[in-house]
Amino acid sequence: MKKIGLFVLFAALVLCQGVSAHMPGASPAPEVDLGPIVVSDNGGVPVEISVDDVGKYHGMLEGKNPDVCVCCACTYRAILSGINEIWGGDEIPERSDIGLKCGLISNGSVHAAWYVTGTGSDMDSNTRGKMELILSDGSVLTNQSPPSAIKKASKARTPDSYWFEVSRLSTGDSVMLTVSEDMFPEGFAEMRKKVKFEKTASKDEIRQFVSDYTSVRDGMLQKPDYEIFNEVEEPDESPDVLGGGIFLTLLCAFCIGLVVMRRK
Amino acid sequence: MEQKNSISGIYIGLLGLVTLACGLADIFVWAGITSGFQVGILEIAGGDDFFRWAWGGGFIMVCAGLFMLAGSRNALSLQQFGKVTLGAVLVWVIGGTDIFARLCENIPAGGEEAPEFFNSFSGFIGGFAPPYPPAVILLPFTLVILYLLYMRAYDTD
Repeated sequence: MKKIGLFVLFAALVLCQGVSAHMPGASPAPEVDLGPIVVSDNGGVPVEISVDDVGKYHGMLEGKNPDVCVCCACTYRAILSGINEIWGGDEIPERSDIGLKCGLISNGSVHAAWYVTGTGSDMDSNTRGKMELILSDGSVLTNQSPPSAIKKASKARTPDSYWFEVSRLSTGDSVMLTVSEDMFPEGFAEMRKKVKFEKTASKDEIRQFVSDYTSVRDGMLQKPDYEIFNEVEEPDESPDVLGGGIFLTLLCAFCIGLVVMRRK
Repeated sequence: MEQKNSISGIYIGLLGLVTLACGLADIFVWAGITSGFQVGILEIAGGDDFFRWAWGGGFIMVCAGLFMLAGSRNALSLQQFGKVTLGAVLVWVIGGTDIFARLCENIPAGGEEAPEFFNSFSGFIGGFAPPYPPAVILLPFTLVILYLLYMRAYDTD
């Protein structure tokens, strides 16, 4: 009896590891502080949207626990980066002024985009931005609601599908962001198809895919923008020696001046 | 002497106003009324640190500004110049600690990923580059007060 109890406890502990992850077997997403997306809603009230909020919304619509998947994380990072680029760091965008064209079609991506742009069916219709899902042939997926339509489009996904165009509807300014191929291990898309849709993968292949999936998701959450998106340039980290040199020279001159004045 | 007094008074009054404004801005940013900002080489970054932003950067700078403003009328009389000097000393204390903080934080390489402990020479020098907090920018402007003090320009009668 004791042995059965111990076995049940062990099994429960093992199963608990995957309960919050939507990819079976994947570990929970790491805690990260990406900073919130801040949008203004309902006549100027600022709303902060964190990646965890997006994960909660995604989990709610999936009928599962909150989870940040690869697509959620990627879409969130793209919108955050796009908004920072177009509106700058200081201005808060009106939610209804945010436009998004998205080549990545999956539940995670669509839910994240719905939540940020306010285009989800359960969200306030007065403050909606605009969101379009673009299929691989360039046409627009007009009916986003049936999960089957998203699932069908999701099957055709390749690393090239990971693109986003964030725009400011009032001015027409936009920024295109494509995810770097370096973010994905070799053969990731093919393996995904094999594991998720064709169901022909061996146990080892499934294990390898879960490990790859976890590293891709963690990279989407933890890597800086310039490593994720091709269009974002690495910030110039070289120190401003001239500026610092001028300051130190003035400081030294001041100290010498004080000593000279004192001696006089 | 009277003309000298009025010129010094105007200068000290303006300096006091700017110091007061900087101190209030520090407090507002700390309180979250406005977000941190940068104007040219001046930066009020703000943060949750009460001692740095509300007390040191804010309250003491406000006091410094008030002392200078209080001493700006008939600034070169002994009592009034005492107030002005006290205001300037407060700015020196905050500016000095800001510079000392920069000096200390530029010695180690910084960043958990850096394998070496000491910063490179260019990294050390570059760490003193702009932007600067208000007290550091106001420091050179308070040197006029130091000069007046050194020259004993105040009226001892």
